[in-house]
This record gives sequence, structure tokens and C-alpha cells, in this order.
Amino acid sequence: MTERETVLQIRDLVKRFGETAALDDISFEMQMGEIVAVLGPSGCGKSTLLHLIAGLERPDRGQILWQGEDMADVPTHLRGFGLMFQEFALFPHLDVRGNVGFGLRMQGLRDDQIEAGVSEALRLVDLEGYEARQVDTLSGGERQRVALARSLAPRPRLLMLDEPLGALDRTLRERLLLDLPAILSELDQTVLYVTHDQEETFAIADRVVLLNAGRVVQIGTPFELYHNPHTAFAARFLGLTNLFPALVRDADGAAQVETPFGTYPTETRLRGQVTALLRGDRMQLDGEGPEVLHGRVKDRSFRGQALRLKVQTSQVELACTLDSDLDAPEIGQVVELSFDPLHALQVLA
Amino acid sequence: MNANPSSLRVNKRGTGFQTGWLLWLPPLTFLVVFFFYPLARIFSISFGRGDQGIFSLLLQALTSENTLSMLLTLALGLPGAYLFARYRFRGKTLLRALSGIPFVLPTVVVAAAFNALLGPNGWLNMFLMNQFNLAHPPFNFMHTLGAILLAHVFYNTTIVLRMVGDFWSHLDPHLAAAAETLGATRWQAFRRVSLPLLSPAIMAASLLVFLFDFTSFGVILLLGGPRFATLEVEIYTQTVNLFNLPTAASLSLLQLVCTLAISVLYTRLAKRIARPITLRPVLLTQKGLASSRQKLAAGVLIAALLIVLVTPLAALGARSFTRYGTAPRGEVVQQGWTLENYRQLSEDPQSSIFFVPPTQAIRNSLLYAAATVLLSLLIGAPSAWALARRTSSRLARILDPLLMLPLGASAVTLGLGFIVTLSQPPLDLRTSPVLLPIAHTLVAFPFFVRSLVPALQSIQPNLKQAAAALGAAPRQVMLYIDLPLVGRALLVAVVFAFTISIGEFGASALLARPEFPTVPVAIFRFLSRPGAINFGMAMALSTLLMLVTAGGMLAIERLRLAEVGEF
Repeated sequence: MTERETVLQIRDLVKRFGETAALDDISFEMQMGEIVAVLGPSGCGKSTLLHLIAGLERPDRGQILWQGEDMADVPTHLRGFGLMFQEFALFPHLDVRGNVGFGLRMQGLRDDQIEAGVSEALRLVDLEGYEARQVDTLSGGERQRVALARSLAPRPRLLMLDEPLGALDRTLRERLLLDLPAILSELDQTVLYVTHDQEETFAIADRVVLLNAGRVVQIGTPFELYHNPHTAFAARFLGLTNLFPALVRDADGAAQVETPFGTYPTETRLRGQVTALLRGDRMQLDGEGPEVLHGRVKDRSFRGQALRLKVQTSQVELACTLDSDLDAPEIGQVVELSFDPLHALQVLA
Repeated sequence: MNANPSSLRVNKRGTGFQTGWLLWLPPLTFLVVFFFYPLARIFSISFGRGDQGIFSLLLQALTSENTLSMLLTLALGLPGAYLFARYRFRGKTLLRALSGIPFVLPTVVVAAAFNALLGPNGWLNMFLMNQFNLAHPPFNFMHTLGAILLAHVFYNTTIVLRMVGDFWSHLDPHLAAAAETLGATRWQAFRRVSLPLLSPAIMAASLLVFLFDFTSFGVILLLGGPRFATLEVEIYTQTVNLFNLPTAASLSLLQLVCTLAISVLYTRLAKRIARPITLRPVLLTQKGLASSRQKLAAGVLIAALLIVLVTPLAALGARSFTRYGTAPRGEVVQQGWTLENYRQLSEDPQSSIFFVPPTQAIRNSLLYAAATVLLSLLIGAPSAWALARRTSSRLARILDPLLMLPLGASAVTLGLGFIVTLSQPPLDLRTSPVLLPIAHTLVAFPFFVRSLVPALQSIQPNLKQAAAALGAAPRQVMLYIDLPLVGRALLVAVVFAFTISIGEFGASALLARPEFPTVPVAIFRFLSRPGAINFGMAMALSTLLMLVTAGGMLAIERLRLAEVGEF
């Protein structure tokens, strides 16, 4: 991605509810036209973050800047930030036209301008001709798209989406997951996207802010995050489960990591107590790698493209992901897992 | 409810058509004899003659003070409803319970309470007379429009607080927030999103407030005085003082049409509240008071609610324990705390034949209330049971609103109807002691039935089927399944019947025999007569009545589970 203007700056944002800090020292930045996903488990403060940025709640500390301007005293309706709520919050007393045109009406536009804006927004979400429909006659997917059209119609300088696919069933989610990036990139829209789903994040985001318990865990592209998680939390949240307590020490001038299943060379700069991640997606069954672990297949499950195995070695239980077109070993069968420790074994703080 | 259609069909065939009719029979007979027949007589009498001036009276009733007090009630109630709906604060439950007490107070107690606070013998005037050595009460509150308005706001605010507040508390706060993120100011978000969504609830509450203002007989009679004769007061005067039944009847007819029209409108709106709006659990919609500005606004509002809704109650209670005497120079002085007012209740103050000891009135009221409970159980319980059987038969659809009609007719009209029908053959009950319990049962009927029906409907049909499959006969199903499950609701209904009977004034004022007064009638008599002793006894009796009805209300509140819109 080419370097673009930084538009949103979040600095040391703190929000407490009573004793507990919902958000604790959050800082990150967004560039114009960028899609940033805020990823984290439920209750990690994601929605609170959106509400603070939208101005629906006030932070206890910290700053929200848009193109250098402090938003602290700018009320919600003047910020120009759109927010699409998790349950859509469509106005039940207005039809689709009334909903989608609401923001344009608030801008004081003429009726014909509103009408044009509404049909343009509906075209974007592929709901042409829905203007006169009542919102309670819409299906779940249609509601989601009307909500999106409503948020897009006033052309917000920042669009925030709060779990936009969370309320939908699996098939609908997968379809909209394909539509959404197309719609957003057509508009070159700056988007802050909140979700707890890493699949959604990887499909949509240019960059990811990973949150846990109100704190930023890691910021990076989806690729960086997946291939180089910095903490055990990040690894576990991205579905990487082979995590073990380990010790890094210098031996003969080179660092070595002592794990429950063996001692291997490492390139990490960390020393002392660490967490070792043995990536299940970087192991093979051929027994030809620099290192080999023997184990018995305890469980296996077929996941379409991938085959997941649980292998019990004499020390630990490992999960690994293999191509499903391989000959799958039977449960109980003894296998040889081979891996390159410098590639498959990562040391996390 | 996810009762599947086939199980309903089985149910229907199982109980059979004949038992269905049998269930309807007692309540229908009761309503026909004691409600529709009297009303029909009023119709026929009123068509016998016309009267000019009626329409101006009607116009006045519809426009002036009722509308004004409705607007005032909304002015206090809506901010209160917002506070209750959106915020958590300490003492909220208590404030909510306190705000409900004025609503259930008998109208004579409301009048007595305002007398105790602002009347010629009330706290304010006593204070001013003591301070400035005045011979006469300086502040003239009784018989002013302000008195009526204040009393109306006093006992109707809770309707707005509850009906609008309950609905509001379940309205998704994200709707208004969404409007703001779309560029709407706070005010625009309220005007264009929250207000339209709340409007059915606000309209329904307003109509109900209007209805209660319209039928607030005792308050107008005691606080308003002759200058503010409403339809009801006029009906009463025409009947009792002038014995001009035809005029009274035509007035009743007008009154009936008005209240029925309002009731129908109310029922329609109440249905619209149940519009498909996603309601949110209160946990998600309410938050604490954060900024100091919010706290200040909430404090002012809570203070206003306390002043309007609670001070009259406190004034009444305190006044009943106060002795006042007249000093030599004519000014009134407080002579300390006393139980004298209560002690005198057992004495016959004036030994004229129309005065009986107040303890006798208490005994009468308790007997009438017990009879009302009994009659309600006999009549109301089968009605509720018949209504709750989810058979969508045409019969049930017609009978349902029919059974609710007494809510729309005022007690005074009912009393008048009784006078014109039941004092002559074929039914001569004028002197019978059952007359009042019958009237009270009718007044309590809608409340009694409405408390029971939701509970009965909530019983899953498969429970009954399971019992039947285990060999229980229909009677045993009722005894061992229905009854235990609706026990609480039945208790609520009984307390309703009892509380309403104890405090009922409109019908009692017309129907109670002079030698058998009820407590509200006795209070009315004491308040209408001059003298410190009479006033003191009115205070004592009113305080007792306030405690009983407030106790009943709190019991209902505790027994009943919160239900949106169910009145």
C-alpha cells in the first residue's frame, strides 16, 4: 500500500466503567482510505472504542484527532463519522427510504437530492427499488444492507462498522463477506471495522488492531499478525494452539529454546521464561525434516481443504493442519511429524 | 407462545362446546342484570327529554381543565419517565413505589391530603397564620382551578411514569445514537426517532390520564366546589340534591359516550404499543448518572416528583396526629401531637340519625369489601378463565371487549343506573345491603379480570395435557395445575377487588344508605362540615384509608411480575 495521509489518531485513550477499565491506553492511527479491523474477543472493549470515536460516550483520558483536530468538544452529529450498529438499529417507524435518507435529510438537502442519494446508496448495496419497503418486512441480510446503505449515504469521512455480520447466519455471512470489500473499495472509504472473527478480519482488513481486555496486543497487517504473533494470546486467538512454557538461554554463543519436547536453536532476542509456539501449519508427515517428533494420532477431523490431526507424543499433545488430499493416517496410527525449528518454532513473550 | 395448532384443536374438542357456554353464563348474566340493564334504562330515560346547557357542560369538560391537567401531568411525567427509563440511581425502586401510591388512593383521600397540606386548616395556612398572627387563612387554595389541577397531576403522574417509562426503558438506545451518527442533533434525534416511537405509549397514557381526570368525581366535588361542576358532579347534584333523574340520565349518557370513546381509542393505541419493535432488556438500556450536570438535573426532577407526589401524603399523615386550638385572640395555634383524632373515631360526634360512629363506617367498609371479594371470585374468576382459554372462537372475540366495558363507565353513572333500575320491581335491591358490593364488583371487574388473564394464559397447554394424560379429569386439572400456577395472580386480583371496594366513592356516594356509610362517604361528610373536630376525624380516617390502600398497592406490586403495557 502506498503511504497516504494519516486521518485518525487515537492517543492514550482510557475509558473506565466504575472500577474496571473498559479501554486502557489505546493508541493507533489510520490512513485515508484504509480499512482497519479492531479484532478481539467479546467484552474486550471494541464497541466502547467505537462509541468513544463516534462521540456517544466521553473518554476518561486521551485524545481522538481527525486530521490533527481534537474531537473532544465536537458533538456526535458534527463529527461526520458514520456508525453501523451491531443489531443495525433501523428506525422501525420509517421505511427504507426514510432510513437511508435520514442522514441526507439532516444535512438539509432538497427532496430530489435525498431521493438521488438514497437510490445511489441502495444501488451500492444491490437493493435497487427497495425504497418503499417497511423495515420489518426485510430479511436479515436485507436489513444488514439497508443499515450499510444508511451509514454510507451521507458519505461519512470515517465509517465504523460494529460486528456488521454478527447478527447473520453462516451462509449469509459468507456471501456478504465477499460483497463488503467490493462495496467499500468502490467508495475508497476509510473504515474502522470491529469484529471478533479472524476470518472476517483477514478477508476485509488492510491492518488489524488486536485488542484484549481493553489493551492493544498487537498492530499489523493480517499477514504479519498470522505469521508472527507476538504473544500467546495473539497466537491462541488466531487459532494457533501448540503453546508451551519454555526457557531461552545462551549456549555456545547461540540462543537455544528448551521446550517440553526438546531443545532447539532459535533466533529470538528474548531470554528467560517464554512461551514456545510450534506451528501446526508448518509441520509435515513425511518424517524428513531437520527435526522429527514421534506420536500417535489421537483424533482427526476433516475440514474441507484441511485435515486437522491431534497427535500425542510422549511429552505433549500437538495439533497440526495438513492438506486434506494426503493419505490421512488412521486414529491410533503412529506418525512422524517433521519440522524446521527456525521456521515452525516461534518464541513468544 | 408456541402452542401448536393441533394441540389447541384437541383442547377445544376436549372441553366441548357446552361447558364453554356454561363458563360464560354467570359473568354474562351478572353483567346483563347489573350493568347493561341499568345503562339501558338511563338511555331510555334520557331520550325522554333534552336539556340545553348539557353541551356547554360537555364542551367545558372536554376542553378546559381536563386538557390542562393532562398537559401538566405530561409535563411532569415525561421527564420523569425518561429518568426512570434510561438511568439507574439509588432509591429508584422506592421512588417508583411511592409514585404509585397517589394513583390508588381513593379520591376522597386525595382531597383530604390536599386539604391537609393547602386547605384552610392545612399546614401551609397554619404556618402562615402562626407566623404572622393572622385570624384567617391567608392562602385560598380550595375551590380553585389550581386545586383540581394539582390533585389530577398528583394521582395521574404515575400513569405516565409507568406506561411511557416502561416502554421507553425497553426502547433500543442505539436508535437515537444512530440518528446522531447520521448528523442529527440531540433534539432532532428525539423529535424524529424517539418521539415517533414513543408516541403510541404517550398517547395511550394521555388518554388514560384524560379518562381518569374526566371521571375524578370525588376530587372535583371536594376540591373544586360549585364553580367547577363537571359532568359527574352535575349528575350527582341532579340526582341527590334536586332528584332530577331525567337530566341526570342525559348527562350520564353523554358521560358514557365520552368515556367509551376514550376507552376504545385507548384500547386501539394499547395494541399499537405491541408493534413489532425489538425491545431490549433494561440491563442494556440503562446507565448510571455520570456527569454533574446529569446529577443536578436528576436531583431537581426527583425533588419535584417528591414534592408533588409525596408531600400531600406526608401532610395528611402528620395532620392526623396534630391538635389545633383557637387562642383567645382568634388565631389558631398548634397544640402539639395527639391521638385525639383517632380516639374520637369510636364516638358518635353528633347524635343526629345521619351520623354513626366512624368505627361503624370502618366495619361497613370491611364487610362490603369482603363481599366484593367474594362476588369477584364468583363472577370474575370464571370470566378470566373463559377469556384465557385461547380458543379463537367468535364468541370469545365478542365477549372480550364486552367484559371490559365497566372500565369505561364511571362509578357515578353506575350508581345512577342502579337507582333507576334496582329500586323498583322486578329488582328491588335499593335497600338491600348487597347493592354496594355489586357496584364495587363491577368497578373492580376489569382490574380483577386483567390481573388473572395473563397468568392463566401463560400456562403452557402441554402442562394440562400432561396432567390429562396422567389421568386427571378437567376439574382435577384446574385444581392441581391451574390453581397453584395462578395463585399469585389470584392474590393480586383479590387485593385489587378489596382495595377498590374500600376506597370506592362515586357509586357509594349515591348508593350508600345514610345509616350505613362507608369510610369514604364518612370522610366526605366530615370534610363537608366545618369544625376542627370534624376535620381532625376526616384526617384520621383518611390516613387509615391511605395506609390500607397503599398497603394493598405495595402488595400488588410485590406479587406481580413486571409486564409492559399491561394495565
